Amino acid sequence: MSVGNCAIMGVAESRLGVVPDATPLTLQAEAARDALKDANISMDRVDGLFCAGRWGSSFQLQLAEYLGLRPRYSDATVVGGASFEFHVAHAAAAISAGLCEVALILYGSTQRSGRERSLSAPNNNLGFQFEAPFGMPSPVGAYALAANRHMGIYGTRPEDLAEVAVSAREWAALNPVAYRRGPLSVTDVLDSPLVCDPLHVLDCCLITDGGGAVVITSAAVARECAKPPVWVLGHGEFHAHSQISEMADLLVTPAAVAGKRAFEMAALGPKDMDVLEIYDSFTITVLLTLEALGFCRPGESRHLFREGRSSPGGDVALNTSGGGLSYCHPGMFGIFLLIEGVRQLRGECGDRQVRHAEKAVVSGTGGCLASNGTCILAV
Amino acid sequence: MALDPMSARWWQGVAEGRLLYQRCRNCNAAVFFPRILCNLCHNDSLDWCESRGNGTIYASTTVRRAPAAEFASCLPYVVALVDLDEGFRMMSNVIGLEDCPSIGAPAFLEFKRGLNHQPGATTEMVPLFRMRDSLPGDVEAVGHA
Repeated sequence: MSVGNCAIMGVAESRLGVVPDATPLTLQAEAARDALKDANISMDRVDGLFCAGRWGSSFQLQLAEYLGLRPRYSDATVVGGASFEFHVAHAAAAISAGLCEVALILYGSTQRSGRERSLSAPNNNLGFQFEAPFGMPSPVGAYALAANRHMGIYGTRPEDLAEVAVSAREWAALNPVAYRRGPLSVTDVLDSPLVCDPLHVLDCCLITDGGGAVVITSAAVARECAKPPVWVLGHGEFHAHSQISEMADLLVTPAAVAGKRAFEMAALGPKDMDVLEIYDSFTITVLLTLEALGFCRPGESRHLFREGRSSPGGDVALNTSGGGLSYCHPGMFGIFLLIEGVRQLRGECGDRQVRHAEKAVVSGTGGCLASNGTCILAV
Repeated sequence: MALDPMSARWWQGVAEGRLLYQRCRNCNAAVFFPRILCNLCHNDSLDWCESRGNGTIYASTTVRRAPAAEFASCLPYVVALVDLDEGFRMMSNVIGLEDCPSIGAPAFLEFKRGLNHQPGATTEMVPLFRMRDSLPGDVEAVGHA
């Protein structure tokens, strides 16, 4: 059994998909309640609060108020969809430093019902004036630029990108709460409308409502909980740009640095991982991240999707929930990567359970390939 | 649109038909977008320079869904990252084609009215790029042949 300084003891989703009667606060409250129930910890023991979102200002104040929490440590780091892997790292550091003992990580969005999603990037940052006149839909255009370069440099084809979406759908078919579960072929992806070449509509993540919660505790508290601990053995984070025109190399994502740090901390490597939960905002995100994390050589990630290797039962257990492409994607997906990784390691995944799942890598990517937080989890 | 004095200076260059960038006096790095310090060595002595406007395509995409209403009438159009010969990268449009140009292909600067030009807008001209085989001069030459 692996042991670390802190462990994930509870996870939960809120209602997902289309939840027109919900607000970001109520979805987070649902998830918080259920994740704490999962951990068998009462809410009044929460003394660390971590959250991210785009639903308001000072949202950690609003959340603590709504839930009746009085955290002695809180952190609302927002680095896009990877925020929650950053939160795991920050919670682990805070717990190790004795600054809190029971940390609650939260996210919720009514992006679908609230029609909050827009292809217009925010216009309040300085650098954006040097991209705004050229009409790039964000973030999809940024990922399309990376895909274009991946194709040009490595010979990747649109079919290779489509395989990522097909694989996600095969897993989603086994997940009762996945948003899209029907059959999907490479041809279906390639026949869907192009948004920004080479990315089609079905190369892009879903737009859904939903929330999630993760409870992390010290090793001492973990011993009191209901379920076996999922230890946080390693974590790493990295960011170096905000907008895509400032990214040094479109084929080397922040996962290269964050992943190296996480694997080194855990004293483990890609070969040791039984389950891979890799942020799939777009199909290209998965290819780039697998390469950056060292699961294959640069440019060769497409081979991990060949001949059913990444399908259920294959040797690459990847995005086993169906991912942001088919399960849910309420604006930020990082917390759902953690939830699925924990459930797989606990053996709670029913039809989609990966056999002998003892170690998982969870890698969140946010913004325009701007941030990555990678966590190594183990039972 | 300009949000600080450095970007105001840059847009002033655009209005004069000049593509400006900065060069660090300490490490000689080309700096873009404009800053008060070098983002490589963090030195705060930067000189303004003018690019000759020759570069190569680093990556590109053909946009088929407009991010905002004012771009809709221009679809499809090509957004590219262009590496200028002076050593900086910028986003722009490649005009005169709809398919993505090859990575590494030479691209040439032109100041043109931007895609989202609104009547009365202050920044009418923006730096755009053309590929060699779609240069206006070449088109004329073909026309005369």
